Amino acid sequence: MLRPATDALGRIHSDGPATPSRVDDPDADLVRRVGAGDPLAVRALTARKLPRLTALAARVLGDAAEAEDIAQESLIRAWRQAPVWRFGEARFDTWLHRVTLNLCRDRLRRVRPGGPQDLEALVDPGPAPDRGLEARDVGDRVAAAMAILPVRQREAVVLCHYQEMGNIQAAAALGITVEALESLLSRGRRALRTALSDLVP
Amino acid sequence: MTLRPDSVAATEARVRQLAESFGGDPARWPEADRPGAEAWIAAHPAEARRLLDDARSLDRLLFAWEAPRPTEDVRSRVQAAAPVQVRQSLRRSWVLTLTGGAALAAACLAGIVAAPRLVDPVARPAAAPVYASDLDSILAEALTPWEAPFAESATDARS
Repeated sequence: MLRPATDALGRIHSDGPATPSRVDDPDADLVRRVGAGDPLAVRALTARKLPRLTALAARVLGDAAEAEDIAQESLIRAWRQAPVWRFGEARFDTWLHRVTLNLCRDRLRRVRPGGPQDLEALVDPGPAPDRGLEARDVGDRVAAAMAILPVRQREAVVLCHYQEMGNIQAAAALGITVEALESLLSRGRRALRTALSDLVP
Repeated sequence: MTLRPDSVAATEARVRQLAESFGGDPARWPEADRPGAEAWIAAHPAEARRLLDDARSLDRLLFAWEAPRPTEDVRSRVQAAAPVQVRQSLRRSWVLTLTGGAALAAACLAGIVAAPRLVDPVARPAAAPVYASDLDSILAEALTPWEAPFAESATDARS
């Protein structure tokens, strides 16, 4: 297994994807119990992960109904994975995010063969200039600005900003280095700032 | 913590990069960068505020986008699927383990059966022995065409 080199500060320097060598997993106990068929653990893991995965898919796809389908499919895969999960190699949450992102990419490819740039045509550019902006309008403007980002930048912003993942975990979920993640984030946020420049003081 | 002038410059640049990439809340920055960045922020409150406020204004806008919550229907479907999926996965894993074990056992058995035959010369297919006299005749036959030119040139030289 590819393991990135770390310096004295724990910073990862690697040409390969970020993969923590031995990880503490806050979900480990629940996953173990799900794998043993404990229905309470199933309920607890659903409560913990379903809203999180639905939000992830909704923000990457820009479609709530599709997001629900994808979150459901991700958790069904989680039930299959739990009995054979190899603890200590990766966080279960990171793996779940990776599964969800892959399902989202498949959906984007299938539904929108032209790629994510086609999303631009599907989103509302925002309220007319003479209308005041309500909180919901701002949310819609952000959704529209996110939809026109290249998909990798959008995924990076969603993972770090909305899913509150650390850089190592987000890079692992995307299968890239932490340096590449930082570059995606920086470009993504710059593009968002430009798209929302009339709202940023 | 006192920073030397060159490291102050490096840290200021790094703080700007961090704010541009991860937003204006240092708690969301990579752990490895936080101590140095926080030291710079404490030492340069005015510049830090300018850098961080800029990033925070974008953060606030991004938080205005609320994600949908899963419906009760999908929650029930997901939970209902768990027992079957876990059972099937366990069964598949046992089948794979048993198949792998059986394959290993079969390979071992085949090795045990075949090993004596591999070391027993009687069991090998008999190859015809090659004797020295045969080799001589083969070599003689192969070298015959080469002898002629030498013989001819020798004759030419003599004549």
